[in-house]
Amino acid sequence: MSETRLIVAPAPFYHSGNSTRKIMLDFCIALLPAAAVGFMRFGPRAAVVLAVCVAAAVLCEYLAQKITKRPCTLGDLNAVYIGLLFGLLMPSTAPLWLPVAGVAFSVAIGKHFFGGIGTNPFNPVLLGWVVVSLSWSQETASWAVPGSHLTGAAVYAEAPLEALHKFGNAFVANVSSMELLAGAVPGAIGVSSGAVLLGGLYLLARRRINWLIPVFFLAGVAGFAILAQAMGWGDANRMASPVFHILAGSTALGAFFLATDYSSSPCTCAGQAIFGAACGVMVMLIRIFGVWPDGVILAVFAMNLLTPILDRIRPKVYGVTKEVRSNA
Amino acid sequence: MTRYGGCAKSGRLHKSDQKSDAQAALREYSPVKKTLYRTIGKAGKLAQTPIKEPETPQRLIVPLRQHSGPACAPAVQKGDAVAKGQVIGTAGNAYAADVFAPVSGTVADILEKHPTPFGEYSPAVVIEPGAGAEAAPTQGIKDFLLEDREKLWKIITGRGVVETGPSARPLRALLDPLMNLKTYDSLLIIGYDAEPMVCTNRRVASQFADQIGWGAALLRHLLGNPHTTLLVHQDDYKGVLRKLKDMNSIDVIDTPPVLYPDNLPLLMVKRHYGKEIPVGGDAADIGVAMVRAETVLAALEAVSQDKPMTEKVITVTGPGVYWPRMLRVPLGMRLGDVAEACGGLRVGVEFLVAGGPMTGWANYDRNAPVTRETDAVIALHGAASDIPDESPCINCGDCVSICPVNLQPNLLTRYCEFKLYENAQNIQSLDACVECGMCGYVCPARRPMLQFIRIAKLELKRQAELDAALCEIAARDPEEQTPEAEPAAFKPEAEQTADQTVAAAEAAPAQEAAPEEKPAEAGAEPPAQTEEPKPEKS
Repeated sequence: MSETRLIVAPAPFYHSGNSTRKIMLDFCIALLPAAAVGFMRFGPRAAVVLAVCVAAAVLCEYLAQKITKRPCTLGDLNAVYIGLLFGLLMPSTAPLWLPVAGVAFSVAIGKHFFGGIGTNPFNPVLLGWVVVSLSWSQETASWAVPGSHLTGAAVYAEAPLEALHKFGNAFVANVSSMELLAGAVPGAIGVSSGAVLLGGLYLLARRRINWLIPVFFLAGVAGFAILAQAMGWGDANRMASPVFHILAGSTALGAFFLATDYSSSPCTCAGQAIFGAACGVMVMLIRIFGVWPDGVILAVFAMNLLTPILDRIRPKVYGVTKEVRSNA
Repeated sequence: MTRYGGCAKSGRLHKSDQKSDAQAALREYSPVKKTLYRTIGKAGKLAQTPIKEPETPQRLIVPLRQHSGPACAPAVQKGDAVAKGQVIGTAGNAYAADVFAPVSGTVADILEKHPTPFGEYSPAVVIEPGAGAEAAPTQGIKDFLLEDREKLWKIITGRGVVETGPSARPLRALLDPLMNLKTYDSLLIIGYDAEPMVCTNRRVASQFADQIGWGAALLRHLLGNPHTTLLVHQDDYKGVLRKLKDMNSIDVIDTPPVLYPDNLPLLMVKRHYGKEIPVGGDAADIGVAMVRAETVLAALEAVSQDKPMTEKVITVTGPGVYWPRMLRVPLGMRLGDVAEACGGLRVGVEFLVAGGPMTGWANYDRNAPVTRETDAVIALHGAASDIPDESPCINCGDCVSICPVNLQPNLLTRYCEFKLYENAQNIQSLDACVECGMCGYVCPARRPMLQFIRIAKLELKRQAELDAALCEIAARDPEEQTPEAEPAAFKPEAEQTADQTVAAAEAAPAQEAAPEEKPAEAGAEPPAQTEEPKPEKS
């Protein structure tokens, strides 16, 4: 009687087939429209910056895991995603050492110092960006005008939010929503909020992210903008419409990609809703009262601190009563 | 007594009946459950096929522990001739149930240790079917509703009726109001199986609906006439209702169209009665006697036909068997024989699972026998269920959104992984986990979530047994205690059973006391022991 060997494995014996690699691949695919529009607007230089970011992230992860003698996890594509996302936050004219420094900080300190994927208390991309922008604020915020690569000479201009912050709302009155959606304004490589929203919708359709964080994020931005206008908070000269606030700068990128980072955002429904809304409100607080023109990154960065507390807001567990709790 | 309004004969559970929270509402629409259902959820024709009786195999290995309590003591000896239905294992306490010979024959051997299909060991009696001994005449009670309750309970206990499935508690220990001091408003008979692929109770409820009706009448009599509900699968609803149309005392309702894990019986209890079964308790705590259809059938047969519980209906299915079948097999039939009765295993089958595909146990031994806990035998190819290649948790939250009892399995299993079992229990309510296995199913990192949880529960149970053993010693002879010696002496012995621990703990104070007396006689105490209180003073 020829009997094959039986194998012992833990239940369940079926699996959904989902994997970390598939998730990260979807995140990378979701960023491709924004990267394509960045290439269109800012020319091959944008592609070079993105490629350098991805290469730096991959190399940095490889070295970090080599040095710490941990198993190599390049296959899960998380490093590629970090590099791509970081590149979209960079100006296309940035000197190439700048994104390399930022990505290296993101991957080595932001991700691997805290134990690798899934355990980072901050979104690593944000950590790298904050360090780079505080250290080299000039280089990080010199935005090229779209199409300027065709003329040969780099032309710099203020991004819409910077113009609003420095000169007041009269200077952004002629910036249409279509221009913001299509990315026809000075800004980072991922300037086109339309392409970013498209990627975000892809993530929602693939159920890679929960709708609660982005929806509450955008609702927080819009709601606080309307509230501030109605209450007359801040400088009346720097007021802009909620639509402008949602479409300008990296609001969409923040709502769909930065705030939804798995390990630095809460898991429960209530936690996610509060987290998203708090991020949105924080963005507007920075934009209205702060010194930073685009507060998205700092807002999400600060709100990452709340995640461990928000994770404690959880629905009632079936069968756990007050008596059971007090006995424990 | 809150029940659904005014429906006397039949009713349906609707989504609006549930007091759901946001998490549960989102889970309703989770596509993952549909993926699972599309893969394996459709029982298909198997639930419509009649239950078959396989040929008696060459050899039966009947485990003496097929219940929640301690193993039975063997009541036969090697070489004895046994009759069908004869007691071969005697129960030690109320949580154990007698074990009977499923066939006539001779006792070929008595094994000290034989694997059960659930990764444990049990003593077992090996029976080779043959002529055997003269069977004692049986006489059932036809008009049991006129009988004394205590007498009926004695018959049910004496015929070894236990709740089938993983709980495996003897029916009397589970339900008797006099034993567990509960009063019942309601009797809920579970006539369906929550887990995909399994349709044991579903088939029993639809094929033996008449008997279930009479069994329900018996249980109602025993429990003091609670309101009785039979919960059946939605596809069987009409057929069962037709068969039970003369039974005025029983409500037939069908399961709502929700998928695993939202159709777990304890969630159905919440939907139906609006109350939650408390953690660590059972349905009896909220006045619901919850019992499975198969157990009801066994109780009825025990009383009306005087038939001991020696058979089990199992679902044999999976891509690895040639003819998926519903079988009523004698307890003790080996899994290999069960597979043979269904045409044998296909080439390349690597998993022989006892229980459902989400919560079952993979067996390494084809000689593991069918027990009262075994609901299904599922054969899977390696490709259908490859061994997880585990990677770190990425905190995606899929397990949080799928958990039927609103736990946070990502945080819970991290505690378990790093052996912080107390934290898992106190912070993340480990014992509220119902072990549905869905967190492991959805995990993109393929972490063995269910295994982490099961290990943690096992370790906490061992720790509790250890504590209880130490308390027992402390209560027995307080003078001989040397408190400093306890923790150091027993940490490495966590794997011992409680009995061994008691013995070891008794021996330890004696060893500890011995070196202390010697220096006292010599008059020179080493400095390390000077602070230690002497046993005479304390």
